[in-house]
Formats: sequence, structure tokens, C-alpha cells
Amino acid sequence: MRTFRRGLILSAGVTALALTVAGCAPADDTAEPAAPSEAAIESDGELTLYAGRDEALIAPLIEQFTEDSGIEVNARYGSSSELNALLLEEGENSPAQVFLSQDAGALGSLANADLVSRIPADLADLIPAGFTSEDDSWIGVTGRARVIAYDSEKLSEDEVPDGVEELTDSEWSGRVGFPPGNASFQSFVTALRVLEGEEDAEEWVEGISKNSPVLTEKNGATLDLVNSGQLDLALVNHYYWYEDAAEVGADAMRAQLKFLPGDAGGMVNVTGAAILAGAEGDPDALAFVEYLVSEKAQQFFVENTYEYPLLPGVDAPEGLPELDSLVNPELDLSDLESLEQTQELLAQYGLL
Amino acid sequence: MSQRVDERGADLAVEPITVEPVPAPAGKRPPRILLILALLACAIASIPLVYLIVRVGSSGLDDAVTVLGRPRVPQLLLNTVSLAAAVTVTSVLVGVPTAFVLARTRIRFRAAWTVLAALPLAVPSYLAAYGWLAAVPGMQGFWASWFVLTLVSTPYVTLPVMAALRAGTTGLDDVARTLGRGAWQAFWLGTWPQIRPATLAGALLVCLYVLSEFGAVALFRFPVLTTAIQQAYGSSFNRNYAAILATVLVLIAMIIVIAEQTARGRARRRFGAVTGIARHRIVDLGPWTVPAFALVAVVPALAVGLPVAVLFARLFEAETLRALDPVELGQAILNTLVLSIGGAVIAVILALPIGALAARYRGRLVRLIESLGYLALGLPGIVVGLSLVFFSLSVLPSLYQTGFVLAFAYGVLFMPKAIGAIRSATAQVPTSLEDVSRTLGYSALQTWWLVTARLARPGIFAGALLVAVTAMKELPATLLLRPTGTDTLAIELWSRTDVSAYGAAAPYAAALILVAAVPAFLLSGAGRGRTDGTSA
Amino acid sequence: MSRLSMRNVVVGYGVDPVLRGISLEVPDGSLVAIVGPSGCGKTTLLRTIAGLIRARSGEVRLGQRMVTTHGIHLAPEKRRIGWVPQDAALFPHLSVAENIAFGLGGGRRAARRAAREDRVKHLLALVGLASLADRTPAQLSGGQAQRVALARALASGPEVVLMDEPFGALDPILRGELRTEVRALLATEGMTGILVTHDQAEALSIADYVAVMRDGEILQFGTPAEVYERPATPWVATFVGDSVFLPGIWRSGSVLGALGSLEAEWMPGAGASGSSASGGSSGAVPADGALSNDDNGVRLGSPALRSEIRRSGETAPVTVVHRGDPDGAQAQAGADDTARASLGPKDDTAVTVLVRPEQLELTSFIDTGLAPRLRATVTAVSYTGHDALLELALLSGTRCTARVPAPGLLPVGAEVTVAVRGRVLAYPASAD
Repeated sequence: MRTFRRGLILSAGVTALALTVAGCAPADDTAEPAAPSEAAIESDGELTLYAGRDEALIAPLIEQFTEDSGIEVNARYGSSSELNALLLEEGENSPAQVFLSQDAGALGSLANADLVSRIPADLADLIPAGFTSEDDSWIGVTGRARVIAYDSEKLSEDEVPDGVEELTDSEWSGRVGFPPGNASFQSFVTALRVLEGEEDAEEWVEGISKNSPVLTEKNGATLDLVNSGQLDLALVNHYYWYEDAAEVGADAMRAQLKFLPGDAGGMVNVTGAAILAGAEGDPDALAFVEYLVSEKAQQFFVENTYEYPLLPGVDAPEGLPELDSLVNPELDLSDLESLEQTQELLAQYGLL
Repeated sequence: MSQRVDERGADLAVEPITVEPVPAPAGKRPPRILLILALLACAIASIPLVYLIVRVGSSGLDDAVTVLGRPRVPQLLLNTVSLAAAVTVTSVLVGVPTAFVLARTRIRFRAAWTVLAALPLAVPSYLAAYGWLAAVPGMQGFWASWFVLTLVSTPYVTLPVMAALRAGTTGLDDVARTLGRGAWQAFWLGTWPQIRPATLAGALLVCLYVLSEFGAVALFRFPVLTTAIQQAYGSSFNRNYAAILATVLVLIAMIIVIAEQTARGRARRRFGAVTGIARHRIVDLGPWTVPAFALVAVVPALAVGLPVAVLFARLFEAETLRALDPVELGQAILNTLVLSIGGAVIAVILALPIGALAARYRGRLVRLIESLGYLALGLPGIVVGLSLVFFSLSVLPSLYQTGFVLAFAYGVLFMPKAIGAIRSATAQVPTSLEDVSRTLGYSALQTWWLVTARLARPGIFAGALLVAVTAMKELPATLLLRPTGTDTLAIELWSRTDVSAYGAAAPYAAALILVAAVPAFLLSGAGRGRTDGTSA
Repeated sequence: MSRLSMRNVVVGYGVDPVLRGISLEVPDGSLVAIVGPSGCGKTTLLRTIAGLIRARSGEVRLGQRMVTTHGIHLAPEKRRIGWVPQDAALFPHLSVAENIAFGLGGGRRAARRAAREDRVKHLLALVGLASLADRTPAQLSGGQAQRVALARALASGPEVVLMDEPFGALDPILRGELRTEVRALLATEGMTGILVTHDQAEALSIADYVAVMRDGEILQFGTPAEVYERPATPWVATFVGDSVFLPGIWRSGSVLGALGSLEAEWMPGAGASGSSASGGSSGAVPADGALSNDDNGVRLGSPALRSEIRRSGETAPVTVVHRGDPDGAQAQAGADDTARASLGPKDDTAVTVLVRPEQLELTSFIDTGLAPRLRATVTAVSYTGHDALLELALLSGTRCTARVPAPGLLPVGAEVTVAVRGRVLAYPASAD
């Protein structure tokens, strides 16, 4: 009886573990670290993708890619920053082959750590400068404009400032919100430093920090605050509004957007993709990246995520100001050093 | 019969009815094999700490000064500590009376109330927070976080105290009454010492949980160390910054663990274990019936009822109700079950030697081992997750991104929860039974398996359940370590609330609560009556 | 032949060890009771024999094997002892028969099978519980549980059965019955037993030998009669029975005191041969050899030693030393079992006299006009049914206690004459 019971417990445990390993282990060989030399040259019909974007949005695109190319995609979803941290931690042993990131800084950090391989020149040239990497370490895919979302019930569009400068006025005290930890916000502050100069930028940061800003974690949450009437102005990316609007209807949106052409506050952030070092030369990876900047995919983004396409010749979504009118300064979006300085600046005034 | 006269509290003029003699220090050294196993388990539990030390070490003093010198850091520290303290205090203040009502009074529908008391365990903090945010949009900051976290962590106090009350005796209370003390004083002198260890253990869990919690405080925009750590990982591409902040968190956790041990040690020295069949009085509620109902109803209603109601309201209100994929849902349920059970098994295996050691033996080494075991609980999941990425890639790369590593992460993360249950269950097995078994010819190991573990089995099982229910809700480590393509209910839920797809989130939220409710129900032990006094 | 022997066992660390150099010989087939007040170390002693506690130094021999010695500590499971703790400690998850069978080895499954075997049935019948084989421990009364515990301890045929206050939790009548049964059972099985108790009446009534312990030392070891009639120290005397202590003056072979001149025996007290600090042993040591003289005079070992000599009929290599004036020493030490040095201190030394209450004879006072010194008044009566303890106040003011059989009961206030029957014991006035 004792052995029976023991056996029962043991087999239950073993089953549990076995199920764990078998049922949850990814298919085939993606669990192994990519051996650089062999898989790099031949196409194995498979791709491991780390996608720092919403699964519901991207999955159809990926399905389409698989249909068109016959390449299976093993997609791991998460937030860009988490996946970035993961990739940095995994280092050379990462099973990932392509990283699709929501912000360029993450891509830059990978480049800095020598974890990416160069995008072939013919591909990289497709995207205009200013919206892609300077050294071909990654390629821009879509653009998101920084906007001010305002509470339309309390404010009319004219009352909303045209630029971020005014936000440090006492009139807006306690009425402005933004996520200081968010990469796109930090990119904006970096852009401010480049455009206005270090001193002015610091003044602005100091000013806004003393203006009782409402600090949040994410763009989406900030937008929600405006939508529920708890916040008057939010500094977010444009496409969150369109996402929300798709769910509840544009008319039902209490928050409305104001674009800021010509102002640093209206700069365009890009999402991008990088091929990881371990997948150098892998035709599957290349194929996917190519697909991302193909017309088909760019159109997909326009229609489904309302982001700006970066491929010249593809029209921007309806109702959005032209990409050209929005400023994208001579700014290397993935300049890490600059980003760190921005973070120090924000931390100095208690925002980080 | 005792070799040393027990310390008597100055207050207490009462002789305990039976006190298990404190084992004579002479010759009471833990067997070597047990010590080795416990140290091994400890070493494994320390993987995240080792990771932190490596990262912090590689960053150097300048980085540390930079990070810790930021103006926001004192505020973060204050927020973190004050939130942890406040939630712990309220959990105890609500949990102990609730436990008393459920275990020592003649309340109607006791079994149902007990299950409800355990149910908040099934609700992830971010879900409760989200529910409340939807209901009361203005909720934010300290009070909101304090409120919601108290709701979801009260069961950590209620359940063990309930168990202690069930196993305890009111004999001491009665003696105190005959000596002229009033009802409250009698409770304080007689019953409180019996439930104090359980209360302390529960309070420790709550405190460490709040320290490491991320979801609710993020939603309520209350800046604490965990949000700063998350931010640092996300936006600062220097991971060392995050590690430094995490180390501060570990130090706080360490202080708390040591404080609890000291308090528990003192309680034990005073009173030892009460042996024999416990008889306690069951109290009639009389005029207190309605308030008692209110007390036991308030936490489940607010922690479970409201968020669920809100989510389902949203379900019907959302314009685009994305089609629910039952296959995806089913797969997520299966993954959740298998991974959390695997995690529970690993956690119990790791916790057994430590719990067995701490139950019977004293000494500095034992305390150190126990403390190390508990520290992981104070760490944010992202740190544990990254540490295991680091560890598994260095040691066993072929296992990386398999379910095993994730289950292992759960085991490491939540092992401390099992330690408490195992320790108290083991301690309740009378040492005289072990002595007898030894003299009958069974070696120490055989005795442990045949007698101690056998009798402590319900407690061990409870520890496993506690780990399982927590693992089901876990998010950050799961995000990092899960095999690509494998999602748990928590992941599916989170990814949907993240992009405001509340309608689509509702079924997953419901599934998560239902699945986690099963172990919660088992943990409540509703309907179990013990007369042999041998289990937790 | 002794089944168990302990030599100089020290248990515990630091300046104040729990056991300070215990030496003990337990003859085969006998029942030895270890008595002492709470905290004296008797349970520790038992646990040390069992191997549940490690000794700091000393030796323990069990049967043919040295189970504890320098560098060796045999684990409890290898010692082949039976253990009966105070709370019976029956395994709650096993039935009565399975509990007993557990001792036959093999764990639970084997226990289930063995439960049916003859040996178990035999043991159950032995303790009179054959009909309760399938009960669970929760369904047993205290006495029944203890019987099962004993049967379980006997199941594996141990060398010695160790019992730690096994009757402590039972009511007096049951306690009395059970201990007689246990005594008989052990005798039938020829089993050596060691019983720890704080109840001296229990020890005296069933044991073959009694060891009196205090503060980690054995003060006296002997038969119940020896310990009762010739306690080594006043403390031992009080512990094993009611005592009356009176001051007196020694006058070679008698004492002079409130009760007149009484024939007395001198008891120098334990510890004459040294304390634990010097590592000397207290208690009984193996006896062989003879009393001897040496140039320094004659040395008398501890009374425990003398008891041992008297009982076993053997002689010991003893150095007999007296306390006090060498000139006053008179030694009569011989190689026979009545070796009794009738030493004493110098005349007129103050001593403490021990009189047992049953030694006092009371007769009703008849007033002859002369006032006898031994006239007393009864001041209190403790009635137990079969006898009574009467508190007396002598004319001189001295108080003492007398035990009278029930027919001799006298009321409070009765006037009596007191006489002492038999020899009394004299201790040094400073003895403890």
C-alpha cells in the first residue's frame, strides 16, 4: 500500500513535469540557441520573432506573411521594453531572430550591445533618413506622431496650446499628464534638447516638473484619464487614440487630438525592426523585414493601426497631417547616449 | 518535567495547561543531511539574489550613487515602506477578527463564508485594481493602493489564523477569567499567544507581497520601488540601475524577515507548543450576528464581487466584442494549470527541508537559511524572471524557454509561502512520536517519511495549494520566461487590459478567477473539523 | 550481570551540565525506578540511554554493546530499546494493531500485514486489549493507550524498556492498577525496565531498585527498603517519605535531643568522595574487592556505595575516610556483607536526627504527677483512611509528626506520651 501511494505521488509529479515540458515547450528547435553559422545561410522555413506590439493588432499581419511566404513565424509578444530587457539579458544565446520594437531606443540599445546584424543596404535605403537608423542597424517600419490629447468637453481646439512651451505656464498647473518612463516621451524630450538647445530644454523640464504634472505609466492609461475627464491634456502618441476610437467609436471619444506640426512636441517616433546577430544572413529573417516595409504591410498599418507608413508612396491615414509637416529633426532616434542624458535630466527634476 | 524553567511573561500569572518541553539543547543538532538539503534549497532560492549581486557588482559605486541620489528615491522609499506597513496592519486588523468569527463562533453558513474568505486569493491584484478603477475612475495614489491591496491580501492572514484557532484551546482564557481578567484580557493572555505565530507568518507574507507588487500600484499611479524598477528596466538601457533599486528592495525585505523571525522566536520561547486534544469554546453570536456577517462578507464582496461585476458590465458595453476563441481559452487554462501545479511541486520540494529544519531546530544557521528562503518573495517578478533567464542560459541553455524553467521560477518565487505552512504543520507533529519511531528501529530519514511527513501532509498540501494559486496569477516572470507561444490566463488577461480591450478580457478574467478559486476553496478547508490536533 | 551500565555520563554543555557524571548499573531483569523532583535531569538521563540525546562524555553499555563512548554514539534505531513516553505517543494514523506492528519494522505496509500476525496478537492479549486491535488511538482511554504503547515497545524484543513517567497522566486508581500490571508483565517477559517518575510512592512500590536524583546527580541507589530506611542525605529522606528532623547532640552511638537519648547511626552523607567538578562519580559503582585501610586512616565511601556492597554481598575497594577528628575514628571495615563502619563525629557534635513518623509510638498520657519530657499534645490530624499523620507538639515546644494506624487515631488536643521505636539516623548538622 505504501509503495502504491508512493508510486501514485511520484507518477503524478512526473506527469506534471512531463506535461510541463512537453506541452509547453515550443515546437521544434527554437528552444536551442541559434547556432550562428548553419542556420544563417539556409532557410529553414521558420522564424522566431519577438514582437513588442499588441498581439491582436499584429497577428493578422503575421498570418498574411506566412500565407504569402510560406515561412512559419513563432511570435513572442510582450511590451517592447520588456522584450528589450529580455534580449539584452539573453545576449548571444537569444533564440530570437527578428525584433519588432515599438520604439527606436530599444533597437539602439541592442545595436549598442552588438546584438544586431546590419540591414542590407538596398533594404535600408527604402526608408528615408530621419525615420530609420543612421548606421543600418535597424530599419524604421511605421511612424507615430506625438500629440496633445485634450478633453473636448472642457476645451476647444483653439484653447489647446500649439506647442509644448506653454505647458509650463501656471494656467496648466495640474492639468497636464504624461508617462515619464515611456520611451516615446523620452524621445520627445531628447528632440527638445536637440531643437531648442540644452538650456531651454532643461528649463522646460524644470518648469513642467514644478507644474504638478500627472505622472502615469503608459500612454494608453494617460489617454484613458482624458477620456474619463480626469485630465485635461495628455502628451501621448497619436495612434492610441485611434485604437480606442476603433473600440468605442470616434464620436464617443471625449478626448480629441491636436497635432503639433513644427513643434518638438509633435515629433514622430518610429517603430522599427532589427535582425539579431544570431540570425545574420538568415533569409527568413530578411524576408520578414522586407515584408514589413513592403507596400502591403505598410498599407496594413495604415488601415489597422492608423500609424504613418514610412515607405514613400504610401498614403498616410485619412485625417492625419502629412508626415512632412511634422518635424523630425536631425535626430538619431536611437542615440543612446543622448537618451541616457535625457533620463538623467528627468531624474534630476524628480520625474524619473 | 522540563529541564529549564520556561520564561514567564511578566503579565501572565497563569500556568499553561500542557507545554511541550523545549528540547534540551544538549545534543539537539540538526542531522547533517537535512542541513545540506536545506542549504541546497536555499542556494537555489538565492539565484535571484546572486543575479542582483552580479549586476550591482558590475556597475560600480558611481552608478549606485547616481541612482540612489536621485531626488525621487526618498519618496519612493517612503511610499514603499508606508504602503507595506499600512496594508499589513489593516490585513491583520481585518483578518484576525474574521478568522475568529469563522473558527470560534456559531455563525450560520460557516462553510460558505470560509470559502468566500479564501476567494480573494484567486483574484490578481491588477484585476481587482482594474475593477475598482472602472467603478471609481478617480481612484489613485496611496489610498487606492492601500485599499485594494488590503482586500486581496487579507486571506493570507485569515487562513492561517483560522487554522490556529481551530487547533487551539480556550483553556487558558478560562483560567485567566477565573483570575479576574475581563474577556478581552483573557483573549489577549490566553488565545493571542496561540495565534500569534500564525498571525506573524501571515503578516510577513502580506508585507513581502506588497513590497514586490507591481500591477495595482501601477494602475493607481502610486510611485513605489517596483514601479521605478519596472521603469528602469523598460526605459533605461542600463540594467544595472534597475538592479540597484531592486537591491534596496531586498534590503527592506531582509529587515522585515528578520524582524518577524525575532518576534516569532520570542513567542515560541514563552509558550512552546500546546499538546493534546484542543478543546475550545464556540461562541454564540447573538446580537453580534449582523455585524459578524458584515465583517466576513466585506472582503470577498469588495475584492471579488465588484471587479467581476464591473468586467462583465464592460463585456456588454464594449462596441467591438472580439470573437472569443475557445481553443485559445482552453489552451490558456491548460497551460495555467500545468505550470502552476509544476511550480507548486517544485516549491514544495524546495521548501520541505527548510520547513522541516525550522520546525524543530533553533540556532543562527537555521534562522539564516529560513531568511534567505523568504527573501525571494520580496523581489519583483521581473527581477526573478531576468535572473532565471540569466541563470538558465548560463547553466542549462537547452531548457531555456521551456515550461520547466517557468515552473521552476514559480517554485523559486513562491517557495516561501510553502515554507510557512510546512513549518507549522511539521511543528505540530509531537516530537514524542518521532522519538518513539526512532526507538522502534527507524532511521531519522525513515521516521521523517513515515511519521512526520505523513502527519504533516495536510499542511504540506496546503503549502502547495498556496503556491499554485499564486502562480496562476503571476505575471512579470511569466512574461519573460514563458515558452514563446505559450500563454497563461494571466498573460492573456493582461495583454487585453493593456490595450483597453476590456470586453475581450472578461472571459479570461472569469476563467482565471474560476480556476484559481479551486485551490482557494481547498485552502479554506471548509467543512474540515480536526480532533486529532495534528494538522495545520 | 547488568543489562545496562553507565559510567560517568555527562550531558549538557557549559558550566552547569544537566547530568553531572552519572554512573549506574541496572541488573538484568530488574525494574529500576529513577525518582527525583522536576528538573533534576531524570528524563534527560532516560533519553541519553535511548540515544535521543548525545552525551558530552562518559560511557553507556547496553547488553553486550558499548552504545555510547568516546567518539561513538549509536543511533537510537540501532540500540534495541523500547520507549514508552508520558503521552503514549501512539501514531494517530494507524490502528492499535498497526501501532504495535510498527515496531516490527518495514513501515506502514508491513505494519498492516504484520498486524495480523501472531506476535502482535500475543502482545495484545498480554496487555489485555485483544478486542481493541482495530481501534484508532483517538478511541482509546488513557490507560488503554499506555498499554498499547507498552505492547508496541515490547514488540521488537528490546534489551531494555524505558518508561518516561508512563502513568503520569492517569487517575490514581488506574495508575495503581496499571503499574502493578506493568510490573508483572515485565517480570513475565524477563524484561529489564527503567522507569522515570517523580512519584516516590510509585517508585518504592514496584521497583526492584531505586535511584534518587537531584540536580543531575544520583544521590543514592539501592533497594526501596535501603533508600527509605537509610537515606543518604536528609534531602533524600524527605523526598522518599515523610520525615521528622530534630536537632541533637551526638554521644557515641546515640543522640541526645528533644526525644531523649536515642540509639543512632551516623550517616556522613553523600559527596564525601568528591563532587562532580572533580569528575568523581556519584551513585553506585561496580563492586569487587575489599575495604582497605591505608596510612592516612580509614576512608568511608559514599553511603550509596555501602548500600551496593550490602546488597550484592560483594565487597568493594574502598578507601574509608571520616570527617572530623582522626582520633575519634573507629573503623570496622571487613570483607563481608555487613561491613559497616560505625564511625561518628566527636562527642557533643551537633547533628540532625531523622526520625520516621512510623517510628513514634504514642500512648495516652497518664498523669502520675511527674512530668515526663516526652509528653505531647496532638495539634493536627491528617487522616487517609488506613492511617493518619498526627502533628504533635512536645512540652519543650518541639514539633514532630507521628504516623498511627487507623485504630490508634487520636483527636486533636489529646495528650500523649511519645516513644521512639528503633534506631534513628544522625546526619551532620550542616547536611542538606
